[in-house]
Amino acid sequence: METPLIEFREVTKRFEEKTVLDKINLEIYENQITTVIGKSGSGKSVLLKHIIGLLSPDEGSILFRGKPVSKMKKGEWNEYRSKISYMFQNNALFDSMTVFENIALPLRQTTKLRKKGIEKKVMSRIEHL
Amino acid sequence: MRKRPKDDKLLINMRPTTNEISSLPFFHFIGKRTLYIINNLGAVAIFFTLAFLKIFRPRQLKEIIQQVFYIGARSSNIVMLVGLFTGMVLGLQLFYTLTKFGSAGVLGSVVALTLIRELGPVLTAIMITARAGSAMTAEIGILRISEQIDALYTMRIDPLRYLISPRIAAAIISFPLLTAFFDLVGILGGYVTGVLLLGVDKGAYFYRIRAYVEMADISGGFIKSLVFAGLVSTICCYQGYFAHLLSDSHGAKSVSLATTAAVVFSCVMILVSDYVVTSFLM
Repeated sequence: METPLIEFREVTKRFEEKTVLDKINLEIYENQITTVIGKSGSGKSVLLKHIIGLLSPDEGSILFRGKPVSKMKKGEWNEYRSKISYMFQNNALFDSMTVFENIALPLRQTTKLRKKGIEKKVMSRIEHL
Repeated sequence: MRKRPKDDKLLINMRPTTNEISSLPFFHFIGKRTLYIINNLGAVAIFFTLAFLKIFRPRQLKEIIQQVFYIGARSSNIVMLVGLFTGMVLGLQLFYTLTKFGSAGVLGSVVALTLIRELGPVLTAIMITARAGSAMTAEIGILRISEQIDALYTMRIDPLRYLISPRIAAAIISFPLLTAFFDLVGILGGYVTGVLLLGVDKGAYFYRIRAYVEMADISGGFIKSLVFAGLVSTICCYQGYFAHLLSDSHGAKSVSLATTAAVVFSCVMILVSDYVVTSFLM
């Protein structure tokens, strides 16, 4: 039987006394499009934020290719996160920065690229916009 | 009374029932508030420690310099203006008080000691809280509610390192410098009222300052300003960073509440810690 790409097992998430996710079980398979539908405030964003690691469950576990995310080592965790893209509801762009600075930010902060290298990469990305 | 279950795992069942809680509302309230305060104090301490350690990571210098410009350089005008008038009013008030005792000649030393030991660090910290601290909370709070902090995380940029550490470092650099400006301008303010307006001898004013102000007074003032820097920057950043977790509001309102809480809490903590640090330094 195929191992799910992402699996939620009895995941519960509470914010103070409010339970947003209550023992959720979910399986997401590779090469399939999975849609999560629900009313406003039903916990869709909270569920997605668990997948990208912005939130961690109070109970239960999240598995990536059968391996619990909470037990991943730092290298595995970074590799897992690098495979996931997430589009925020309001884009979450840095509105105090220019388009160039927005694209350059992760390059400046997470790579050792020099100014010229960053400029070249950013301009090549801007051409795709 | 209910019997205690043998199995430790069942201790959860020892929680008071709703009826028991309603019969002891006062103790329930006190206990809940105490746990909340202890929990928050622990969270603030961890927040500060993590952010402080990340000051020394690579690629921080540029961000720290930017924040020093914003927190320090841009606050200098208002700090010096307040320092000037504080010194002037001190000169005015102390002149009349000291004249009653026939000691108007010591005006310079009294103004200088009051400013260096007490008013300089405290008023500078309160002014920076009002100007830069509130802005810190609002900016970080808006970044939080618009999910920009979450976006940093998804880009593998540590928000604590990128947003909080430079602000704490900049506060630690800026507070003592601005306090020194405040003290200096305040002493000149005292000179304006004491010497130029009320006729105290110019030589006596500066001679008494040199004679009575010791290095321990100056270092004590700087120790206070460092403590205030840590407190104000941590409280303001913490309130903004966790603005989304406020239970009684969300969105823009949570940012406004967080900003108000940051300013009020910072000012209270400045005064409380001032007493504690002074009692240690005496």
